[in-house]
Amino acid sequence: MNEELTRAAEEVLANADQSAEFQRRLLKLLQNVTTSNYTDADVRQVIDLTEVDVEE
Amino acid sequence: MDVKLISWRYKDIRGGLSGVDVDLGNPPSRWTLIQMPNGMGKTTTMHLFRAAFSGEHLEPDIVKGFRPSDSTKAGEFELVMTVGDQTYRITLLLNYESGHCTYHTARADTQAGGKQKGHVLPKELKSLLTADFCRLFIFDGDLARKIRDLKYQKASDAISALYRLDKLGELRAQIDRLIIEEQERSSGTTKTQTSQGLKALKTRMETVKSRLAGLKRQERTWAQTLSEGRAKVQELEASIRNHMQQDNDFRSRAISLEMGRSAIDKEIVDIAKSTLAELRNPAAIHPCIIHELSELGHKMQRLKLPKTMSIEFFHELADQPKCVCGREIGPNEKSTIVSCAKDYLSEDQIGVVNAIKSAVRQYEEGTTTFAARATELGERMAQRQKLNGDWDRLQAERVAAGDPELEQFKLDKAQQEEENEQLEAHLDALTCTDAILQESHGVDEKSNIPLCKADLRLREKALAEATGTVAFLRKSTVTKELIEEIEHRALELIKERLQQATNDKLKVVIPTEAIKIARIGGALELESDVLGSKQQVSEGQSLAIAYAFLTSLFEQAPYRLPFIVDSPAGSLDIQVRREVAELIPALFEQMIMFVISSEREGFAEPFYGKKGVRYCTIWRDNTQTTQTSQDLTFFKQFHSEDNGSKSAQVGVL
Repeated sequence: MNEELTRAAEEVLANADQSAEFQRRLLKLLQNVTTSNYTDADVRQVIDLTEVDVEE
Repeated sequence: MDVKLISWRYKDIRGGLSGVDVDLGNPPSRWTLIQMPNGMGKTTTMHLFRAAFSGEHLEPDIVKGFRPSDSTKAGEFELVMTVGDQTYRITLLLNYESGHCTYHTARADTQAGGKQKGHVLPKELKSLLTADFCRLFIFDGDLARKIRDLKYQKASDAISALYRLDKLGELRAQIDRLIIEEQERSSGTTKTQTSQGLKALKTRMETVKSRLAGLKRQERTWAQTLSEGRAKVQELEASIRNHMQQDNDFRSRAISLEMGRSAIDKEIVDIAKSTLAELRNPAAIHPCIIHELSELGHKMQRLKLPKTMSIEFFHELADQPKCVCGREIGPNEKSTIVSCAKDYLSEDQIGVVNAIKSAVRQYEEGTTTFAARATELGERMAQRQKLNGDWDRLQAERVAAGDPELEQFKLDKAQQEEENEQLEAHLDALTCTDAILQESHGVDEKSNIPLCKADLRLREKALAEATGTVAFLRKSTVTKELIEEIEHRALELIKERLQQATNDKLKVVIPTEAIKIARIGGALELESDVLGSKQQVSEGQSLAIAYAFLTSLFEQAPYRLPFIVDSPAGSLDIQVRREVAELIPALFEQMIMFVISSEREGFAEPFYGKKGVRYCTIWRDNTQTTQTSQDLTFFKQFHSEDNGSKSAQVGVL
């Protein structure tokens, strides 16, 4: 993953109010996306880890 | 990942490009200067390079445009490249009659170097090398203008493609697809996909919960009332009995009837219990049942075992030294047991069939006393009915003899029994689980506890599904927004770096006007210290800006691609040529420059002192035969009279 994408991801995620595991998985997914090396399951895993308030 | 151009070959292509091989070595020279006079096919070569790298569809008019003469039916262009350690040979077969171009790819590591139809490159590289993207490194002069034209997004698109930010867009599209899948999956249970819909579902579920609680309260109240009513009936019966026994005339008859009724009731219970036990053996009820079951047993398939429970038995048996029949189990027997096990295994429900067959086989006819017990039970029932009749008559006699109190007891009892019956009917309607009974009572989920419970289960399931779907939608949306934000921020950061790097180069290449990039939006937006916003630049400046941007773009890119350029210095001043020639080569791992003789001055000269430069001259001799030379001296001295509109004539030493 290129330097700017890593930096951008770190900047955005620092303010995202998401778990450390979510951040780790999303970074890994972004890295794999740039090399087209990922599956639906990887994407679903990140989505499942996203913290939201369902009744907002 | 390094992508290197190794060689290419022409066969029957216009410009006299037939049977010409250009080999850059493997690994190739870092810089290659190819000198071709005008009309020899430089533009054609660039077009074919772009096609060979991108695998783009070529329109028939374009394919036919490569035709060297009317008599030529087909042509061929072959390009060899390395991608990392792999070598790929891409062949374009040009059918001049149909106008079709077909691609073939051969890879050195495939069996027998097998050629396969199609343009087959590694997936990741293939997705990068679009026709548009190839114009960045197989440089098209037109791109130099478009890259600054605000109508286009060329600069931004190039950054997104090269740095794979476009893949993040694909990821967002994939999330959209997953959302649709999730919606389709849950649509069988609920169509609720919003928070408001979720609240409505919760409200409806709470309503059903509350209704169920109300029905259960009703059940408790009625059950309590019924219990009290039954107790009251018992009390009234006791009062009637006591009242009857108060009179000497009736006492002995009443006691006798009471005792008789008690004895008969006890016998009826005993006989009923034993009869019920016999009823559990259906064959005991009638000889025709055992006959029918035997017939069924014969019709059933031969003995099989339930698969799940029994397969391990065969595997364990195969590992034993001896079989259940006492024979030794050797390797052949073991193999046979395991392979034939499936012939004796069936679905798990076969266990039920086996149990029926076993029960039928074990039955012994003639052991039943069911018929005698049934007769006995019938007799006792008749006796009890008679005693009840006697008891009613005795009471009637007492009332007729003038006992209003007893009459009142009887009336109260009859009324209470009627109330109890009504309550029993209400309770049955409220609690019955049988569908036929429910229908006959005319009840639904609002008036029957089991139906209400079923409704609640459905609503709980729908709520759970909807909660999952809504949560998935919200999570997906948040994830997509984060990815989009990351993509925009990354693009911004890359643009900032590229802007700085490009401006640093422009200071060197165009020192006189201090032209610089003010902003990279979709295109390069220029400004000059003197003129402010600046869009009007000379052709030479335009080319220099494009080089400065592209070299900055590629120098830190995750892919190292060859940079192929036609007439790299054609429109530049001699001094600027030198600066460009000094600047560009260091920025590319492989650079191939097509020049005409007039471009050598200023541009080619700085290369002469460098190592790792290959010089190639392609020209047609006096007999119109295409010649090639890789001699530097020849390259330096090659002249063409056609440095303009006339076609190539002669290469002169």
